[in-house]
Amino acid sequence: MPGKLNDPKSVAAGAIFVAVGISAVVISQNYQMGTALHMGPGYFPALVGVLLAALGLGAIVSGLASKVHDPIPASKLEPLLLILAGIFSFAFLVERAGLLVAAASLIFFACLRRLLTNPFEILLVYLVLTGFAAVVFVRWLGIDIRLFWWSA
Amino acid sequence: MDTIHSIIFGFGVALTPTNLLYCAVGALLGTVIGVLPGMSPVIVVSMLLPLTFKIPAVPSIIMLAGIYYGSHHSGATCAVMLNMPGEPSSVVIVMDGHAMARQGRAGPALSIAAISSFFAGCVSILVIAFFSPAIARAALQFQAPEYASVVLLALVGASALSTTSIFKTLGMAALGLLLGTVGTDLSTGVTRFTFADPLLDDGIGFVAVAVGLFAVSEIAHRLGAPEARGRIDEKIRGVVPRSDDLKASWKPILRGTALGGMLGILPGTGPLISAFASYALEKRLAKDPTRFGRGAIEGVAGPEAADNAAALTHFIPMLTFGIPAGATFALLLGALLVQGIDPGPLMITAHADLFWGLIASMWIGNLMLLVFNLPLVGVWIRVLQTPYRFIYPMILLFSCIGVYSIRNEPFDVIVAGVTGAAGYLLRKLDCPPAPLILGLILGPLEEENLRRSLLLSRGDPSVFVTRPISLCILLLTASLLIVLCSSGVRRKGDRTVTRRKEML
Repeated sequence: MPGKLNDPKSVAAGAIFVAVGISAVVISQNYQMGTALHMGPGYFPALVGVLLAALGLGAIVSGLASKVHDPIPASKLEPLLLILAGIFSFAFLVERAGLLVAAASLIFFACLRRLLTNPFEILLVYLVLTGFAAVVFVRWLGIDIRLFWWSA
Repeated sequence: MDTIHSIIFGFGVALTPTNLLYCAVGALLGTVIGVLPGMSPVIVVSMLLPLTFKIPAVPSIIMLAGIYYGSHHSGATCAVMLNMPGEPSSVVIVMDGHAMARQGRAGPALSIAAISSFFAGCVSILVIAFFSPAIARAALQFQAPEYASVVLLALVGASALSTTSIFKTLGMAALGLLLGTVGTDLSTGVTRFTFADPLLDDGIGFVAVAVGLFAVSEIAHRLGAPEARGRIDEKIRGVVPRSDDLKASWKPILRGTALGGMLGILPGTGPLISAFASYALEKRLAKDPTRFGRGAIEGVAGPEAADNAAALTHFIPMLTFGIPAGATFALLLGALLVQGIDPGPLMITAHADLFWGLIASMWIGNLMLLVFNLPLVGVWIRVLQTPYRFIYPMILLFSCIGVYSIRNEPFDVIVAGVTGAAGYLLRKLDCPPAPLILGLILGPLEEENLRRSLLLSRGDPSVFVTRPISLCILLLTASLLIVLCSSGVRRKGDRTVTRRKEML
């Protein structure tokens, strides 16, 4: 095996595929496999699981043998985590506190980095977007979301 | 003659005030998407999809289609003015289009692009109108084995645009197929992979996954690694093209239309490849190929025509077979299914108003785009420069609202978030998202057809190669695969194209 790993992306992706594929095959054993003639519920997932694992293996092998240097780019996790915080808080709040609060939370987290430098801009963004959503989506299109925490 | 009557009927459907409105909204949104950085048809379609469930099928498909072809029209604006492709398929136009802008000829470049798009659109729409019924009739010959093979073709075809390793691309498709099995198996009633969570009984929900994969992960990616913004220094002096521009362009337009129109009919190959092929063709046919890259109008006219022609004929697989040619079409397919419309060969006759109304509205939309794009080009240029920090909160908020509204379940929003994180990770590993969404949406269909095929053949797997049509399709799929494998390494070079292509 060559010393330098030129293509960690393929190896990592391949590892994920192999793991998911094998898990699928294992879990599928809980469902009836049936035969080729009468495919049971476990048949197709197991088949695809095998395919996925095979493709993952291919990715790993091609990644190990690769001569092209292609490292995984370093990246800040912060934006992703903030966005996730925003999305999950929206999910948590939308039925408990209504759209206006949930939207505020989403935009709060999504724009947190710039909150202290541009507070009014972010407030404006919130008002415009939420106002638009409230009028067009909820009132006009009839999407079923509570606007306020006291609404029905 | 039958077709002429149907087209007239289609106009009757498309010219109602409601459908006209939705057509205009769709075309307008499409234009805005093509011009704004960080937005693509897939993101906006997945964002708006839940909202279309509240309106009837015909206006919603008209609007969603308008978004799709509208963005192909306006991708040229970004390419010419900002030296950046607004849509992946406009990457070819950047070369000569921006060169023309630097020479002060941005106006003629844009207007030739608009004329090419419109002409290609007209021709392609006629192609769809005249050939789809025939193709659909041929598709009626298809039985389960043929369908199973065609879905495979669609999956491989969607992977064709990928520049990363074939294992990762097809792996994403397989992953999508696997995710599609989550939920209740319709044939047996067994719930699979739900881990006792009743919310997963209906499956993972393709809208939530699409939103996560395309919108959320794209936003996370962009915020983590900000791109350099192009600046517009070029002014637009006159939009009217010179007569020698027109004389130089008309043949490329014809050739591009023919090329794109034909390439678009197959799943997978589409606007991007057509644009590239047209550029290569024009360069080869030109008397002075050295002009290309320095402002040759043929390098704008041909590819733009090819792009738009392919974008429209790309509808054919979905409208005739019910097989999506790409990620956006997979979402449209999902939308049709939710509306209770069964896409497939019978759709044209069973839902004639949808099909012919769509065709007529495509033409109307193309006309609207021609008329409004050029005079408003100053507006679009200002829109082009909207900072991303105003765009991404909108995408996030509207996506969350949309996903929640599907069945009033916060769980779906969480799914979108989780899929977004997974999509972000996979994107970092150069795994393209489009094959996954296709696998997710087509998975149940594939399983069903596999099951029926094996039932038909009494368990004999050779049925897929002994039936002639199925064999042809599989051979086509295999040759696509071979093409993918061999050119995979060569295409690793172009990074800009790679990043843009992942949006497809």
